[in-house]
Amino acid sequence: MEQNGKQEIIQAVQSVSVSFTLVMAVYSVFTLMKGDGEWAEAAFPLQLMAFLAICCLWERGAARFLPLRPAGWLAVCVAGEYAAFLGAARLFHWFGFRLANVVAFSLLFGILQLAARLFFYERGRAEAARLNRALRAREKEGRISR
Amino acid sequence: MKLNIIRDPGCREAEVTLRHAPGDPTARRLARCLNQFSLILDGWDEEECCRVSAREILYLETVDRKTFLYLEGKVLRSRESLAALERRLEGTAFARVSKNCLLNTDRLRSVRALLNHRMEATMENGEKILVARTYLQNLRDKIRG
Repeated sequence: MEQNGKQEIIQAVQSVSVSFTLVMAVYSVFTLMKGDGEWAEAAFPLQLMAFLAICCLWERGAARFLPLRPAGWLAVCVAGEYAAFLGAARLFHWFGFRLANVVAFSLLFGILQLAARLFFYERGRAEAARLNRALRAREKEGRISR
Repeated sequence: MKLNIIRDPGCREAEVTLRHAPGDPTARRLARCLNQFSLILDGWDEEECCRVSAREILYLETVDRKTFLYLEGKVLRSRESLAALERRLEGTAFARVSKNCLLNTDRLRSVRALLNHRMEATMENGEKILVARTYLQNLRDKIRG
């Protein structure tokens, strides 16, 4: 029961996240089309989506094509995404490029990176734990003949 | 489950008939074990051909377009492609875990998550195999199967 409740919460959070993303994207498009308000504010969600999509593609590509150990792969991914973040911030004028701003937003980038990676790593660990339990159960049942 | 073993001096090859109720999950697992037990693959050690049971193989891997069978303490080369071997090993405990590797889940000791969205499978002999994210479902299905 407890596991089901946890699963339901996770699914609810995922559904809300996806819905929120779609609503913000649609809202941005409509606002841009209407021409109301600040262009930069209306365009920001779409710019952010494009940036995140590029990061995802970069990670998938790196996972497939870079024959590095996990630590090396992680360093390459984060470096690439940080470079993309600074490039997008410059291109879309997300913030003024003064030292204080760059440091503050870089810290924010670092915190969000850490949070996202921990989230996905914990999901991987939970999946590995489930598989290991299934392996133990299989051994116990004597389903494996050696 | 009833098990009947009949010793017949005139029998040249063991024959197994598995009778089961429709949808019996035990039957599927038994069939998988029997498939694996009876499947023999040819492996080459230099010029010598060795016939190995699928049960003995830890994993199969393609390196430089050559397919190798990894057993405990021995590596043999196969003259078949990985795709052909995968078709032959259908219905056994072998699961594709990456573009160039098939792993025997009956010889799998444990799995571990890595930072790069992959898993690391540790075999009985301590060897570690990388499991790509796209093939995780295959591995899951075979282990739970």
